[in-house]
Order: sequence, then structure tokens, then C-alpha cells
Amino acid sequence: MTTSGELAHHRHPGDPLPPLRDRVEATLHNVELRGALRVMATRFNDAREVAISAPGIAAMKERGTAIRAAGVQDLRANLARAEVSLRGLGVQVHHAGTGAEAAELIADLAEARGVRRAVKSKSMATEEIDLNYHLEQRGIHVVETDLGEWIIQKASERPSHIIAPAVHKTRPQITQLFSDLAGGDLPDEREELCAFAQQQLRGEFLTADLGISGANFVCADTGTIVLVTNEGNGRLTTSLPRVHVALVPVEKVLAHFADLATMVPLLIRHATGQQLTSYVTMIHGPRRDGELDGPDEVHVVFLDAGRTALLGTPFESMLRCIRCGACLNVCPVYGTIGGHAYGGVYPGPMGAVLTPLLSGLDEGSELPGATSLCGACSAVCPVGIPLADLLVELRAAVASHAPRRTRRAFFALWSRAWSSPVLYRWSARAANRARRWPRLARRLPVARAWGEGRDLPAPVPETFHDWWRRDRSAAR
Amino acid sequence: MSPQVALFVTCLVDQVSPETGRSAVRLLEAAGCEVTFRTGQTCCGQPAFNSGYPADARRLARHFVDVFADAEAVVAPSGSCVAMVRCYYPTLFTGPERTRVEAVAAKSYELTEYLVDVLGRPDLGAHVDTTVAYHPSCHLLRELGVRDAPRRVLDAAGAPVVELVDAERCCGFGGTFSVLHPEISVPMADEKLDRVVATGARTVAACDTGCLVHLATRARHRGLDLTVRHVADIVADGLA
Amino acid sequence: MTDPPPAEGGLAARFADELTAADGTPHVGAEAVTVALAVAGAPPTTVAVDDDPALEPLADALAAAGHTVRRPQDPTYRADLVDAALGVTRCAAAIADTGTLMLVFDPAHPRSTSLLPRVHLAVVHDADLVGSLGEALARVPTPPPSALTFVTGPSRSADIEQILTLGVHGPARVHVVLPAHAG
Repeated sequence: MTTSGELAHHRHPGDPLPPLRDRVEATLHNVELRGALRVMATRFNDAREVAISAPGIAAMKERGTAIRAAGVQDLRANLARAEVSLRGLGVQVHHAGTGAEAAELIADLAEARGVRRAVKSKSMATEEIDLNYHLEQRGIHVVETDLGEWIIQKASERPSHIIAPAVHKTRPQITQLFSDLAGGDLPDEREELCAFAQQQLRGEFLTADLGISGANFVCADTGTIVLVTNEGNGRLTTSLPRVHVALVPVEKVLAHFADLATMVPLLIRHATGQQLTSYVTMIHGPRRDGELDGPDEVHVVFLDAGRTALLGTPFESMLRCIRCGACLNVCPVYGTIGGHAYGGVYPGPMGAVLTPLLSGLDEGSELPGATSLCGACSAVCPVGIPLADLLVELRAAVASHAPRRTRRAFFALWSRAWSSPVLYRWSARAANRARRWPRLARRLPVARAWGEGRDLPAPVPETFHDWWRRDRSAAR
Repeated sequence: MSPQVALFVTCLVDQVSPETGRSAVRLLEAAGCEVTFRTGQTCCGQPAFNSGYPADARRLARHFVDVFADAEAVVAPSGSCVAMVRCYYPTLFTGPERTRVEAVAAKSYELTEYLVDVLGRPDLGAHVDTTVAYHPSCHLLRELGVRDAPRRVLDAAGAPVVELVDAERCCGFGGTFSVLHPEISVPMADEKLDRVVATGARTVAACDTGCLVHLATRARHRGLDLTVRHVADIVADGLA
Repeated sequence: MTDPPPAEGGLAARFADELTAADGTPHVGAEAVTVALAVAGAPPTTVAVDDDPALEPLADALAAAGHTVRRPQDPTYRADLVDAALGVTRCAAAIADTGTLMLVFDPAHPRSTSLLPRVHLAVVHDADLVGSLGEALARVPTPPPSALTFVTGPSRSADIEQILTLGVHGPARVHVVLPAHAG
């Protein structure tokens, strides 16, 4: 049986995964992890609920939805404009069609610049392309600087949440991890642990040749690269090393700088419930003459990796996603099974949509089925992505792409039978009768699955149809 | 002229909880409606739609529309099925057929929604004396936007509602999800049931039989001393 | 965080409230020199001060009190910053809605002054205060600087047991001197 530790372990894209059921059970058995998920969901949800119920936020959400919807429709044009603006600021712009291309491109660039040490601020896109591994293969020392990301890097694990990557780790586990790094016992106390991390990472910032970041947004009209962080590692990563590389998924492009007044607060309120994070950094190219800080070179690598393929499809709206993580925090399935059980880089509802889409339905095709379609995700999304509807669409796409013969035959037969009132009534009666023998009934596949933890519903004396015909029709 | 209601009993109520159908009839009649039951009705088709077989769902949708095309109002004791009809039936069709489908969708209502928002009659003269924890089922809440109607009906019947912590969190039924992923579905039921138990209320009510049978059979399996009932049944019990 | 009440005491007062809520320390109507000396603590410490006319009196007072004061024009500035206890800056705008400083960087106002030292002190003038983020964005110079940062209180993380800790990477304390009455 898979353990939650095994499930948390770093994996390369394409590495085999245990089946979903095993992954889920691994999480469910870890009581500490389930407790941590509860605490995180409560904290994020309480803060977010206050932040998004403030006056004016509903209007902000409408504006944000319109901005992102238009942005996706004009994606290619915005990308072209962004490139012109970036180059105008002295930024070197690259395009990567696939994740592998992006990783190779960045690794080549780093090698060519004589990079030995790199620091990274948090970027889910870099996880998507397994960048650290590629850099390490070239002998480059890479350090994550977001505290949560550093923790899991040291533990050789992968993120379980897109905003709080180490949510699955308890403080005692972190104390143990840090003590091993320190080569001695550290106090099991949060402030001490943070001080240790800060001291370790400071040295890394000061000696790194390369800073790698993602981007929360890139403005097409001004070439602004926007980074939203609370720790300050985003600023350090993009100010101290001599080279800065930003890996930017193509959908991060915003048409107008002025849109930031809507999108930045909208993102932050939905992600953490703050009005603004401690730092919102805007970069316009490399350092200017006479500046003490700032990189000599700034590179933007635009990552496609299956994204533009979604344009013009029913799934296009998924490109609006601003990676706030609100859908994870409200999702009862995510809250029950945790992030690692999703298997890929992106968990929760947005992951259940994005993973199969970006992989052409090769990966994560089991994820859209693992949701109760409660719609909480669609309701909370600040940019109006109809996530629950996309999950149903994906179920249909998966059913076509990788047909399950029994299931398809069942529904074909069932829909025809139940379009006939006579056949419907007959089968309803038969199913009712079968429930009189629960031990036998449990052998049937659906009943067996139902019975895993639930009693079978008791048989009824007669169906409503039969009652009406007997009781009400007779009375007329 | 009394409001004419064509009852859509739904396949789940028909087979698993027919008394809920009877309660729905009683409530509608107490509100002054003339209720008919078109025996050609079967199922709204949601299981096929949610499983990714829209063509099969369309077949059942057509049948539904044929059965109810000329009804004045279609009322069902189920938020989930009505959400399927109102929110998703139109997406399955195009052209003139879509117009016909939209017309039927527009006159389809969940039971408490119909009583309170259409008829303006939350008070049916029922007298119940139970404290009830109310679970707002997801499709009723989010797809139909029905939030207050069930509470008002319960309240008017003397069944004050106790609010659940995380009330709007899904109970884990999710239709086919309940049998395709019992390993996730059942822990979600447990979370909901634990919240109910924490309020001290001995009865939990909802407007969807899917949620109710999932919670009831899990509660029974755990040996919990809880009554799990449809809002219609609770209120109908209190009718003279 | 609810929206602030309208203009009671003006933008400075609102900024102060929001900064406090974000774990920063406002000093409304205080003398910048007095605050700087208090925040620097007992000499000698190393203090970094941006090259700004408005900050000259602070640099002088800190030096007179016995602190080692480093300025961007000093050749070892960047190296000295690593051990500096305090970094002193002005700002390009101060957003009352959220208690946020907009810092625009150039050779006289390096990025690291407000980033490497453990404590950051910013001096806000009347003319800096604006209501909203949108208004501040409108003040970003064209052509834009190589970088600018919006700073709201100290650095923080909740990555360890979901409880907030201040001062991970960036400054652990942010002090802001605000005018007595503005807006």
C-alpha cells in the first residue's frame, strides 16, 4: 500500500503513479495530514471570506472576469505585444513550445552564462517543467527560497498546494528536517525554525549567479513583470543575482498595466485574504547604469506546453486562471484527499481541469471523475471559470478519448430503456425487489461500491409510480 | 383557477423514497394547487450527462420535454434534477428544439422554490415541533440559487433551523461519484454528519434525496442516532 | 479587513491604521530624526540611508549619535548592507487604503536598502499620500524604472504550521513616519 510519505516524494513528469484509489487511501490514513488540511482550509477560507465580502469586491470580480476573458481571446496578440514591450526594455525574450524545451533552454542559458548557483522564487510553472532537476543535471546548485518550497526541496517532496506548498508538513516534521540540516537539535519552535531558514537562505541569495522566478502577470503594453510575495524572496531573487530568468506561462499576459489595479488585489484577496501581500514587485528589464542592485540580464521564457491548443475549444476559459488557489481551499474533495493525491503539479479543481488538458488527456484523466461536482469552485473563482462545467466536459472528452466499453454500453442501454415508461417502471420494480435480499444485492457492482461504509437503502413497499396508479388513479 | 402542477417525482424519490413524493403532493395541495402525475415520466438523465455521455442524456431530456411540454408548471422535490433541467438541458440542444426545451426549463421548479418564490406560500398550516439541522444541497444552492425557501418552509412549520458549521460544504453524494469514489464520498459524509451531531440537533433535513439517502445510510452504518429526512416529509407530517 | 471609515484624520490616519493591521509601525506627526534615532537603538550600529535630500538630516543625526552611516555612493554600500540593522528610505507614494509604500528604485535609491537590513524605516511626506493602488500606479514614471515594489508591512510567512511569522527574508519591522495631517 502506498504511504503518504511515498506519495509526497518528488516525482518527474511521466513517472508512474499508483492508482487514484491508492493515492486517496494513503492520505486518508494520515491523520496529521488531514488535520493540517483542515487548519489550512479554515485559515484561508475565513480570511478570504472577509476579504471578498468587502464592498466593491463583487464589482472587482466582474472586472477581473472581463479582463481575463478578453485577455484569453486576444492571447496571441497580447503575447506579441508583450514581446515588443519586453524587448524595448532590454529583456531577452524566448518561446518554449513544450516543457522540455523550456527546461533545456533555461539550462543552456545558465550554462552559457557560467552559472554555478541559482536561487528560485516560487513558480508552479518551473515545477511543471521539472526545472530544478534539469539544472542539477548540469551541475548547477539550485535552491528554492520560498520557505515552504525550501522545506519540501530539502525533504525531496513535491508541493501539495499552489500557495502553501508545504501545508502537508507539521512543525515537528520541519524541526526534524532542519535539525538534520543543521547537524544538531533545533528547538521545536516556529520563530527559531524561521530564523534558521532565513539565515541559511540569506547566504544563498548573496552568492547566487542566477535568480529564477515565475510571474504572476506580464503587462503587454509596458513589459512589466509582476511578482507577488509575502516573504521578500521574490525581491531578493530578482535583485541580487546577475542574471534573472522568468518562466512565464503564456496565459499570464495582461493587456494593460492599468489592469493591475484590479488583478493584483483580486488575486491576493482570493489567495490569502490579505488586501495586498507584503511585496508586489514590478520589473522593467535589467538594472540601469549606476544602479547598485538588479540583474545585468533579464530573460523571459514564455511557456506554451499545451496552452494555446486550448484556444477556441470549450476549455479556453481555463486559461483565465490566475493561480489564486481559492478553488483548492473551498473544494471538499481537496480538503479530504490533499494535494499529493492528485498526482500532478496542480491539485484541486484547477488541477483536475488543467492536468488532463495540458497533457492531451494522457495524464490525469481520472481526475475529473473524482469530484462530486458541488460547484463551490465555480462559485469562488475570481475570474469566472466554470470549473465544475469544465469537469463535466472533460468527463465527456475522456469518455470519447479513452472509451470504457462497459460504461458506455451501460449508458447507451440505460438511456434507451429509461426513455420508455414501461421499461423504466419495470426496472424500478426489479431494483426495489433486489433490495429485499441485501446480501445478494451487495454483490452487484453499484451496490457493492455503495455498501463500502453505507447500509443499502431499504426496499420500499411500492414505487411512487405504482402507488399513484393504485391509490390516486383509483380514487378518480 | 388553482395553479396546475405537473409533479416530476424523480427516479430517486420514486424508487428509494416514494413517501417524499406523497409529501410533495400533500404540500402542493395544501398550498391550493391541483397536482397531476404524468405517468410517462422517467428520469432527467443527469447520471448520463455527468458521466460524460451527453448524447444519452439528450435522449432522456427529449423524453422529459415530450412528457411535460404542455404543463403549466413542473415541480420536483429535488434541487439536483431541476438544476439539470434548467441549467443544462438547454446546453444539449440547438435551434428550434432548444427553444422548446428552454420553454419547459423555464417552468420547472424545485418544490420549496415553487411554494415560496412562485406561490408566495411558505406557510402551509403545518405544525411540527422539531429542531432541524438544514443541509443546503449543492445544486439547489449554487445552480438554482435557492437559499432561503427551504428554511422559510421549515420555519413556518415550526421546525426552527439550526445552522451547521460549514453548512454549504458538499455532503459527498455527487450522484455517480458516490459509487465511483466511495473512498472519498464516505469521509465527506462523515464530515457532514459530525457537523450535524455537533449542533445537538437530532434531525437533519435537505431537499435532495441523493444527499439524504447517502447521509442516512452512512449514519445507520455508524450507528448514529440521527433522523435524516426530506424537508417535504418533515413538513407534511405536520399537516392536519 | 474591512474598508476604512471615510477621511477621519485624513489619508495619513487611514494609512496608519492599515499599516498597523499589516503589522507595521506608523509614527504619525513624529519628527523623522527622532524616530530614526529611536529605531536605530543604542549606537554603534550600521545604518543604510538612501541618497535623498530629505534624508540628509537623518543621516547626519545618526552619524552624530555614533552610528556607522552608509550611503549608496559609498563603494562598499552593498557589502555593508548585509550587516546593517536599519535601512532608511523615502517613497514615491503611500497608499492609504492598504498602508502600502510604493518604492521606486534608481542609483540613489537602491533596491537593497529596504530589503537586506532587518528593519526598514520610510519617511512619508504629505504629497506622497494617495488613496488607492490605482492612484499610485498612475504615478509610476514613464519610462518606468528598472524596478519598483509595493511594500505593505514586514516580510511574513505562514508556511510553518499555518501561523504567521514575521521577517522571513525581508525586513522584520517596518516603521513609517507620517505627516501629522494630510489628505
